[in-house]
Amino acid sequence: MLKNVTARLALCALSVVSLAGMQPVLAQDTVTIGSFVSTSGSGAPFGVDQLQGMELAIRHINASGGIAGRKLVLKQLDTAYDKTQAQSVVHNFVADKSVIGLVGPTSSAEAFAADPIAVAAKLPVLAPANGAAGIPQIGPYVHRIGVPEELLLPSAAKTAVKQLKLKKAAILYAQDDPFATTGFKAFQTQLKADMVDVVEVIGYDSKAVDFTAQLQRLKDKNPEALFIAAKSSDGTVLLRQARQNGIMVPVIGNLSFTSPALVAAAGDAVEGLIVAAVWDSSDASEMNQRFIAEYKKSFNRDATPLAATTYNCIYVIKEALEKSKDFSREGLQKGLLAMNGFKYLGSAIEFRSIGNGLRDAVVDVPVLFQHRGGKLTKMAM
Amino acid sequence: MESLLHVLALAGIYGLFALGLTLIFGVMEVLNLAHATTFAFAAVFAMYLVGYAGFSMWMGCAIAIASASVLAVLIDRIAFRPLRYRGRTVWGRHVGPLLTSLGVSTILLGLERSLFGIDPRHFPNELIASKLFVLGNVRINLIGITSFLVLVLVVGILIFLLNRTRWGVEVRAVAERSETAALFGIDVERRFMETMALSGLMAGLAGVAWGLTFNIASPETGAQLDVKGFALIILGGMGSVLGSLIGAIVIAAIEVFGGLYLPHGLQTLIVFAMLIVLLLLRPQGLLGKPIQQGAR
Repeated sequence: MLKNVTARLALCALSVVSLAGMQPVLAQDTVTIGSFVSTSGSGAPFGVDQLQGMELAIRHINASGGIAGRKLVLKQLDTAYDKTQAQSVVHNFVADKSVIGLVGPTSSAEAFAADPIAVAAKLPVLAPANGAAGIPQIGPYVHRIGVPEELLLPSAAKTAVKQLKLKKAAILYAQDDPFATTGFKAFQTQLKADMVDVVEVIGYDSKAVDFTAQLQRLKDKNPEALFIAAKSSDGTVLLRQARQNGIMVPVIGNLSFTSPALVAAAGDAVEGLIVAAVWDSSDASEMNQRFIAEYKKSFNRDATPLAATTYNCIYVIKEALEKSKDFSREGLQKGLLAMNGFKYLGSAIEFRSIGNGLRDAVVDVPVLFQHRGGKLTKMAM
Repeated sequence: MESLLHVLALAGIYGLFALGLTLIFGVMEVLNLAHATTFAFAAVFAMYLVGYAGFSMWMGCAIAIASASVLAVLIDRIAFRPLRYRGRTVWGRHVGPLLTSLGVSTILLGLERSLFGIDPRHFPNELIASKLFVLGNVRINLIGITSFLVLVLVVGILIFLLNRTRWGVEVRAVAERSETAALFGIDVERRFMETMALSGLMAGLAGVAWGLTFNIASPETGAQLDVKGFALIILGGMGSVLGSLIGAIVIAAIEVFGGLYLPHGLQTLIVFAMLIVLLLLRPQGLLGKPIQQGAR
């Protein structure tokens, strides 16, 4: 009897030891990245692209052996394009010690609200497309991967002014959104530098759906082009109403206009729309072509600049971890700081110092696209 | 001219929306906070039926409008009826139903979000005219003008029904004092139900007109009209059918002409500043009846 009890106790002890030993083995096998993009709400057209870009990158990395033999795992929590929700999500990730880095959020407004929580917890955040001014200044743990609007849009404006020989233009922007406000300032500064007469500046509420009065006022001033810095679906509505009101001049849009869902919703009003990006779908590199083909195969839709940026984010994490060989939050931070830039999909991005030990993503030559005859055509620079 | 036509287009939507609100207030003395949710439901449901369920534009819109009417009756059953006969105190008559309608509105919003998602919806582009009708140099939004004509027609029909038919006399009697109306053999509950159904129909018409005009709607769309709707019925006169029409035109005109000549945001400021001044000078609104001490 005693022997039997001893044997059972020994077996239990062995099981406990085995289980205890197993857990670290499982944790060591994986690297968990938190994704906090908006897959619902008005930012969903952007967030879905971003999530799919990450999922594809993770599939590609794991298929080629992971990071130093460790499998990458993505944990996505929806921010619903809402600042408060984004804060809750980041609190969750901070508490989850298996998560060593974050990718997101979708909007700059969410980033300003939620990123400080991650910074306080020393959890690195890779900002894919938070284009507003001041994002890297949130703290040293925020690493912008997507090129900010303040750098991307001036190039777009400059090229558009040159190619369209613009003398006067108008700017419209969502004045309640930091991302769109940054876009507005970028457009305004560049147009002023290029001696273009800005005949009208219209700041609007991004939730508004009726722009008829403002557009009629603008039409009377005969601008040769419209520069629009939109937040999300407001861009679609503006574009459609501009055309309905007989404003047929070219429109130069910010990053919001790169979402295929928004472009589809605008219908034939997108004709002539010019957008800037750092990703060029016609780039013949093997990595780019594989990304385009497998994105289409996996999600039954064409790849987008937003998906390319988050794809890059995951590869940046891979490179950073390979550099530091430390699979912790601090290890990822060290690895990221050891990188001076990257070149995966699209143009080469440089991490340039902006003072106080902070850095920002910079690109020398963005790519300009124009919607012509239902197709997105690359513009000569 | 285009701006004037746009005023009418906006007034059509605002007026139809406010007509439902003012009808409920006039007959039941209740401010229905779920009215905006019913309006958004109609817009989103129409887009869902046409864009995803394969219904034709006419059929999808008709079903959405009818559904909004049914929804309004349900709101009455859940939010207003249980409190209707709990004494004629201020709480029982006004505050209680106001709070229950707020509760029902929140629940409905949650249901709409889970059923249709919170992403903005659209009618298919090929079914919505991307260009306005051009007459000479004037661009005409035919949907907007139709909305306004529908509003004028509905106002005319309602005024006729309320003033020239037995049904109207009964509804007015119920509005005056439901207990006394019941003593005279009027089916009070039926009149209340019909009022709610009519208000839902107005919300449905406004929702569909909104969807067809702007081609974008989500469950949150109601928030864009609720405060404006209340401002409008206060301006026109609480409970006044014709006041809704006048209020809608005034508010739409401020928005459009304010948008033409003032910086963005000042239009809303003017609407509410005007409302405060009007409430100080004429608390019953432009066409409302003065409230007498001891009445009702």
